[in-house]
Amino acid sequence: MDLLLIKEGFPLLSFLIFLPLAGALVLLFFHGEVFARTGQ
Amino acid sequence: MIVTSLTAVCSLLLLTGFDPASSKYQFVEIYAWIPRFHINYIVGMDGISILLVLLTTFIMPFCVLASWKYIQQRVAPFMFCLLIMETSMVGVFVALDFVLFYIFWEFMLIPMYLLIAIWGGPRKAYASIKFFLYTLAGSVLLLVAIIALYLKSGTFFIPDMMWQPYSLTFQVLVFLAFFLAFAIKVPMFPFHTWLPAAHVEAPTAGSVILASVLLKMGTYGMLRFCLPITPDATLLLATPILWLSIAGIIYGGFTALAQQDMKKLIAYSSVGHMGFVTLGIFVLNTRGVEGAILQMINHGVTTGALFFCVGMIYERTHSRELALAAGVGKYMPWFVTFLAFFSLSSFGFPGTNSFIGEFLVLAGAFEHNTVLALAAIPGCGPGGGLYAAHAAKDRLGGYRQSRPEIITLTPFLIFVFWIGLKPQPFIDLMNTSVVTLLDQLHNWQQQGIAMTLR
Repeated sequence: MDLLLIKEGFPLLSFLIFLPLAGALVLLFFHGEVFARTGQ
Repeated sequence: MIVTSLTAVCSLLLLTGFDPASSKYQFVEIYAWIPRFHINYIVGMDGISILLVLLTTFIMPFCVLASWKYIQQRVAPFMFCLLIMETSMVGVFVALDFVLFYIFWEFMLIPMYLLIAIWGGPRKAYASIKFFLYTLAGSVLLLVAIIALYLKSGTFFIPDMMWQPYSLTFQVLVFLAFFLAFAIKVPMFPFHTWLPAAHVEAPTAGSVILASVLLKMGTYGMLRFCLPITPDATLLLATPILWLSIAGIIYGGFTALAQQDMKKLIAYSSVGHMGFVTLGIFVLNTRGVEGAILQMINHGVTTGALFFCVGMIYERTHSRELALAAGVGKYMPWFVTFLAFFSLSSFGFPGTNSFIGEFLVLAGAFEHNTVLALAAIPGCGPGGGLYAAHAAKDRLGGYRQSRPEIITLTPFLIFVFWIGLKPQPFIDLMNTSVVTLLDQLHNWQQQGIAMTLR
């Protein structure tokens, strides 16, 4: 654990990982019918 | 577009908070996930991964921009795949837990497969299945290696698996599993056959992501896992891998010369460029490894830009044939200027980014073995030479260039010359991490020699 530099505060890396995922889920929520057609 | 741009802007905060003088993992976040199996959500990054994370976040808005006109059908699912890709690519570069790393690694396979299979060219089924099978075969080996390491070390925390006294046989087996998984992803000669097919059939954004980021995951894996987790096996097997890299450099460069399809040309030259990266990694000295990391970024910038250029030509001519593209330049002078600079960058013209990367790798190779370095030199130019011929051909005929396209290409050109003329800030970011990694490797080697003598 001495290899790690832990900074308290805003979880920036998680934000960068999950922001696109959140965007993708919003797309899924608003355009679900297009996804359904794509799958057919 | 909003999400990818916001992610890119926020990723700039990494630069402000990052301490380049420290070799420790920074911005670390630890959350317990499945304590019973010692699986945790641990992310962090060091000098090796920061540039790759920034490359990923900055490429994505341009991929969206480039697809704005080109993708007209099923736009929402296309953007959905791009966003999932971004999550998994950033995740791979920052994961410090092997299970988390593997999930992100696998997570990107399906959206990439869909990008090729749904929005791809005429042979999209063949290309997507080939891509899927190759990468999946590598992933299975990676999973086996991860499980074997867990059974030995009792943890999935990656830094705790490094520099452990595993037996040589165990190290060699784990190294080979890692190496095959990563060599397919790079792709190294002779595991490269999926790449030209995937590039040719993928839509422009897919090709750009594939070339700029996905291929770097293989070389990142070699650097992050092979060297510190299996150091004895790395030292033992470095020489054959170096010669395999030389084969890739020469094969990629000269095969590119024979291509008439522009995407195939770039794909084969990518095999050569990535050969330089693996060469730099396995010469195991500071110049080589720093050159390799810089070359990963350079390849991401230059090849990404070249794929954008090909996409722009394809939108107008509906062909990727070099001969049919003749004539684009008369009414698109700016476009051809950009293409010419990216072509010069691709064959490592002094003053451009690739020159710095290839120069450092070759300097590292000369330090390691003169014959090896001399063998790599014939592969430096050929692929790029054909781009130059292509740029010259483009000076006849007529289409119109559009402002969004010039806006898309401009940042890439800025980076070509920024890294080419002032590479020090980029090298400073990675220097401490690279020096520490190689010091640890050389200390490990010395200890091994001392033990043998005793």
